Amino acid sequence: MSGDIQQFPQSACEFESFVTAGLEGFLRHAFSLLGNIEDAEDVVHDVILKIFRTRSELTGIARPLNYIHRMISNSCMDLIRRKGTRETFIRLSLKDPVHGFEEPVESSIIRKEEAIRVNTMLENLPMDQALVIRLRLMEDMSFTDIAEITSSPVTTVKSRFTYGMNKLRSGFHIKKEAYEEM
Amino acid sequence: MKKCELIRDRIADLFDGSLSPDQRGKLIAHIENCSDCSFYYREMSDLAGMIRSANRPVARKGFSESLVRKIRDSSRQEPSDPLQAMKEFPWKKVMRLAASLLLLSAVALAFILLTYRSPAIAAEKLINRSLLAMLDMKSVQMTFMIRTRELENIDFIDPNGNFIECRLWEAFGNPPKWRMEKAGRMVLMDGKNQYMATAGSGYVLKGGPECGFVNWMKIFLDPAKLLESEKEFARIHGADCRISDQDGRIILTIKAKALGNFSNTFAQNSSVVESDNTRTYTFSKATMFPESMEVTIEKGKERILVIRLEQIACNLPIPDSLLTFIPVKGIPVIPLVALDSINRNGIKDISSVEATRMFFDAISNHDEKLLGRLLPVEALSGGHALQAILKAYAGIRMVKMGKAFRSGLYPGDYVPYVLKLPSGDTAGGNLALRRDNSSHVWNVDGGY
Repeated sequence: MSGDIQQFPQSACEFESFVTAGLEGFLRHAFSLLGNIEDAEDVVHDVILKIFRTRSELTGIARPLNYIHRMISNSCMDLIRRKGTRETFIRLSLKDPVHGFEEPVESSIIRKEEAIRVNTMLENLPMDQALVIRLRLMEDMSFTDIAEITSSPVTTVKSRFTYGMNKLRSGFHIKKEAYEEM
Repeated sequence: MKKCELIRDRIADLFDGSLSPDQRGKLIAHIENCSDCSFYYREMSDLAGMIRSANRPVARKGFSESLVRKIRDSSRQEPSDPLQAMKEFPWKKVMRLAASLLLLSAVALAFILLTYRSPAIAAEKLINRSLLAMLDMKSVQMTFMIRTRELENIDFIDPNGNFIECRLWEAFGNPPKWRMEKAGRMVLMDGKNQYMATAGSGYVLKGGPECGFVNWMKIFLDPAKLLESEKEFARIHGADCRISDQDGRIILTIKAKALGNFSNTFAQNSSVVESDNTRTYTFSKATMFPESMEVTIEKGKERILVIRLEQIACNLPIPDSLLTFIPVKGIPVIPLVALDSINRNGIKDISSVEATRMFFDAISNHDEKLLGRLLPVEALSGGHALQAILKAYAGIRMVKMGKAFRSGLYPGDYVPYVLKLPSGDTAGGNLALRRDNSSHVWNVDGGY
């Protein structure tokens, strides 16, 4: 994910394109930690402008995208600490899509239900496990990149992924028998 | 640990694609031959598929555009980047022609630039750190002590005056709301308009959101912009910047030379920018937040402290009532445009010397109407300025006038004059007049 750009673009025009390309990903990352689209936008906004203003001092940063994600993680954690609470984002309903969400990808009711269940269950996971799962599966980041962003060893990131997925799996109550009958 | 458990611990790697083909092959081979592991892997894969296709948040409409706009605004405030220009220059061709010469020149140039600009660069870095600390600022409250005179404009500085307290409250936003107060004068911006009230006046003056009731003091409304301007000043004017460390505080001292074209040095030492001055900022080492600021004017060996920021507090609640304009019964609100449309006939297309003559004639003849036409509309609020002038100059007679001249950064003319006082003595001075107003007529703006 961080292979394309190896340094923070210095001209405003290049910086703009660089940021715009990754914006939705930054926002999803912030949202997954904060559970609230307004706060997520505020954090991403502040982080991007902060980086833009100091970009001349960041020329030594080798992987700019990871750096932005790390700043987003840190800013989100600061905000959560300041607010002392975190909002839940299980606000999806089959009838009324909530502002801030795109429409479910799948149109069938069953897939919609599954999507809601997934978000609900991710929400019930410890935050660090849910974040690793989201970054890996929704943002397609490698475990190495996630480790860099979360300032954790790669082994810890993998463990969080495995633990989190195992908890989700138990939650889904998918029976072995169902597969054996196939 | 059983083999299956070991395999399941490694299944996460299958979702990462970081395994070598050999490792991946071994893992898949086990999964295909083990029903438990196969079941486990299929469950995990299904789950991963569901998560991948789950709802994702999207930005609200306009978010991306707003961010891009902020980046562009921020970029416009930056001084032009000489490095960028250098990058765009066809260096390679030049290098081919004179590689060795250029290398030597570049090394020499880099040495000179680094040596010359390093204090400015250090100041810039310090300011950048403080700017970062201020990003979350939602409101600010400040208390200044300023050498000035009561009833004068909020932005008026008199190096010989006493210290008078000036307070500022601001809630950042778009548009911002703010209020500045000093003894006898208050300016309020309620998000839509600016209002200026002067003690003893019979009305409140109302101007647009950008109107100049606080003039250059507006810079204090945005501490980040103030620091940005210092950064630019250090970079452009090569100010002498020093950074020291004292009791958990970082002190940035910027010694600046007077700006302006002093074809006549009259205006020198009459304002901060037109004086050699020292600006001292103190930042908390722990938070990098600015804690205090002082501005000292230097006249030869004399150093006069003219501004002292005594208190700055951020993100404290500001009562709505403080930032809301509440009309007072019996005190009319007069739009600035209405005052500005005062009949200016007879004073258009005249020289500053003629305007000076009319000004002193109006005083001698106690002609309030003519005097009113020659004063800036802001000064007319309440009429106290007009009365004060008539009282101060009562009984005078103009003896002679000199040629108009310009000085420093003042946007108007100075006209020298000699007056005969009621006591029989003579006194001289220079009247300051400017016509950068909407009516383009000369307004008497003060003088020394």
